[in-house]
Amino acid sequence: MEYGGLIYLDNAATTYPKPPEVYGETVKAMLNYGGNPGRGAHSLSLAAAKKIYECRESAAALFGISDPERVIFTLNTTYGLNTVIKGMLKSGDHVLISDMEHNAVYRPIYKMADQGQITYDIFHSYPHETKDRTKRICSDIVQKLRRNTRLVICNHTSNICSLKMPIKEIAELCKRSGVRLLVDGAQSAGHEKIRVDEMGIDALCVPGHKGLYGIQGSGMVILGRGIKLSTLVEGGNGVNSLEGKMPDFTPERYEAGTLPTPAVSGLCEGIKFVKAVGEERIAEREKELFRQTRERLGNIEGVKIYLPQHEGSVLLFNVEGFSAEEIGERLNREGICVRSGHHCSALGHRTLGTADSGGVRVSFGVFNNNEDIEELAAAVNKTVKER
Amino acid sequence: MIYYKGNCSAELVSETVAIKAQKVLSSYAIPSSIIKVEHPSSRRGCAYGISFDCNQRINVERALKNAGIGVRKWNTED
Repeated sequence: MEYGGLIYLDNAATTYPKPPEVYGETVKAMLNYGGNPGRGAHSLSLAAAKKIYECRESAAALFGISDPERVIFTLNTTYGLNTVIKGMLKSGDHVLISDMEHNAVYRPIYKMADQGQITYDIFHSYPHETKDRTKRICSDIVQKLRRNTRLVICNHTSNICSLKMPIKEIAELCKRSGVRLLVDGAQSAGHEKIRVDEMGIDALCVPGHKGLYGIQGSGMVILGRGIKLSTLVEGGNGVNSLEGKMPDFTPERYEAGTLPTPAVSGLCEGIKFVKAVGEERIAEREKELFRQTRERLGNIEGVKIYLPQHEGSVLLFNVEGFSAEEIGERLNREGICVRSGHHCSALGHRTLGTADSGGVRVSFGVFNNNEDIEELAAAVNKTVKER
Repeated sequence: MIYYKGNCSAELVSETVAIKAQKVLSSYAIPSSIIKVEHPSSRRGCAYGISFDCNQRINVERALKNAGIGVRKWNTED
């Protein structure tokens, strides 16, 4: 899909464009109900609060939880992950993270370990395995569990390729072992069905501005039943204002400070859009685009596609004789937006063997079409011929 | 702010819960209004609630209980 002459294939960073309803509601929030939610009972405050609650209900339905109060609004996925990681872990705890984690998981864990608060191990995702992958992943987790392991953290889908993790099986294993499971749904929310309660997830962190088609500045933590965290940020939230301590009920306990009502309102429409189109249809369409890209780029001499068997919304490649940054730059000159480099994923690139080179990431959204892929392939082909 | 006949109200923990309670009551066709509680029973500061017709008190209690919504205090103002 072309916007201002550009082809946008960086939807894993943030989706663009958004559905018209998202823009409309975001502006409407600023124009028509610009009060501060939860900060009074006047009409504008209440109207904002009702819209926020509507978004909680929509998110609760989308992620299969019964209580909208378990939807916590955050600025983005990173903020949500920090909220859960730092709110759940105590001194002396041990954590397991996968070898495909984004820096949003790796860095807070690394820092806590570096400061001597926790210890951690990394379990394998076995990306190249074609047989018994789930079994091997679970077996590796079991081997690395310790008596003091409190938390397993795992992304649902990688942000550098379309590798998925067997969340349901990992959740069952965690449940049996008395360990909590935190899922980073940054690249799966809106792309595939996630049912927090049914799947046994203790906390799910998602962005509003990626697969849910909201705007930047919106994200959520979806808490499992009975999960209570220590707070990451304290401050005003419009309730129990005479008390020094944060309330012990959700969502206010975790939402200190004014919420970004315009962003949440836009997200509400984004979620409605995803529900209307359907996650399965979105996923299928993205796989079609993946297959087309794989075929077109795969026919170009010198192009290497990583994990081509794992179809989804993200495809990673490199071109022999060019750095990833050079390809990204050349594609940009041709009016094609992709992301090259290391994609904030030190662990993932080490696992795929691309830590030195980085890679060129193409990521699809519902507004991409087959012509976008043909343009991409033509531009890569042109670059290769200029070598 | 609309106060209903008899000014009955239920004090709840937050505005989020008050909105939820109003939606629940609406599904039972019970009109209600979200209010900021003037003198919260807990003395913890800002609290919210719902105001409704006192004639509906039993129905409101039942509806909120069925929805798992806890009430801090029931108020009937003269």
